[in-house]
Amino acid sequence: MNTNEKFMMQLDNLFESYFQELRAMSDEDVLDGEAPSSVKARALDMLKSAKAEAGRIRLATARSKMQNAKVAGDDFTANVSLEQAKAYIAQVANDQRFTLAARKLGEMQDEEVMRLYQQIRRLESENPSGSDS
Amino acid sequence: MTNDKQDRMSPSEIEAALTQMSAADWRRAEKMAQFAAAGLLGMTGDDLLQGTLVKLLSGKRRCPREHHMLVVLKTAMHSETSNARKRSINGPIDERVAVMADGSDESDEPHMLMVESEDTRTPEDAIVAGNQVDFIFRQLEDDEEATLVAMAWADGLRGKEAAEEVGLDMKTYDAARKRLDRKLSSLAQSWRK
Repeated sequence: MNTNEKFMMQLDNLFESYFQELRAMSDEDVLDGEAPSSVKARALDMLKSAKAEAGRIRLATARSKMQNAKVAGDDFTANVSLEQAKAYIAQVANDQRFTLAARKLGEMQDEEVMRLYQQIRRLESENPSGSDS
Repeated sequence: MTNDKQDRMSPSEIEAALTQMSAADWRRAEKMAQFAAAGLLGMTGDDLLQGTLVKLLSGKRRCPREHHMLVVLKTAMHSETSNARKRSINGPIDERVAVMADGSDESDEPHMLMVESEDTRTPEDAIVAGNQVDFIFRQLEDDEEATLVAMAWADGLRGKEAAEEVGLDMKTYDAARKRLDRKLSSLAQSWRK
């Protein structure tokens, strides 16, 4: 065992032993003269604050999930004609992400064009900093 | 790791369990936080405990149903300090990294953090750990018996076994343990002075 591994093990052992000793100590010794009501009040304050912060995180996570689900579910082809879709794909042909597909535009089936159009629009929605429409 | 939702507590169950936790157990959690945060850059014991509570209540860290809440807090704080040690060497780390029970990391899974036993340590951790161990023993320099007890703990011994190893009777050991507890539970404040 090298010195670094020894330090890690010592710290882990100290952490675990201190924890087990605290559990073995009486509540009175652990509180060491502090009133239980004072400790509990401090704990509940911290819990309240943590709950508020956790709520903000959960809300942000839910919003992000909802946005992702909306983008995944959007039908970008709903009001777009085949010609409009082809024109759009040709327009983004200079974007490195779409060049290869756009080159094959003339050889594609109509359904394939619409599918590609949907894919491009979805990619752009998920990554607004990419190609502008 | 388990994928079964029934095996882990929901955030509201975690909140209820924390609310019901005794004052003495909260004090134990505070003391562990003060000990664990000592030597970590920009982190107080309160920061560590608060951050751990936020992760549990937001669902970012799973809480196995079969564990006592104090054990959950201890294990989660241990994992948080490992991340904090990485930050103090490497700068900010990706908070979304999920720590799996087998010690491997998985990115982009913000709800996969576990409080099961973990080993995410890196060589960089050891540098900070070395500083922490050094700091702890320097704080005990004026108390030979407390130092002996801490050395036994660092070797993985505790209770009667530790007392026998360092040649202290149980009464002397208990008194030294009490002094050691006071030192360890104020380590984070001492570090910041």
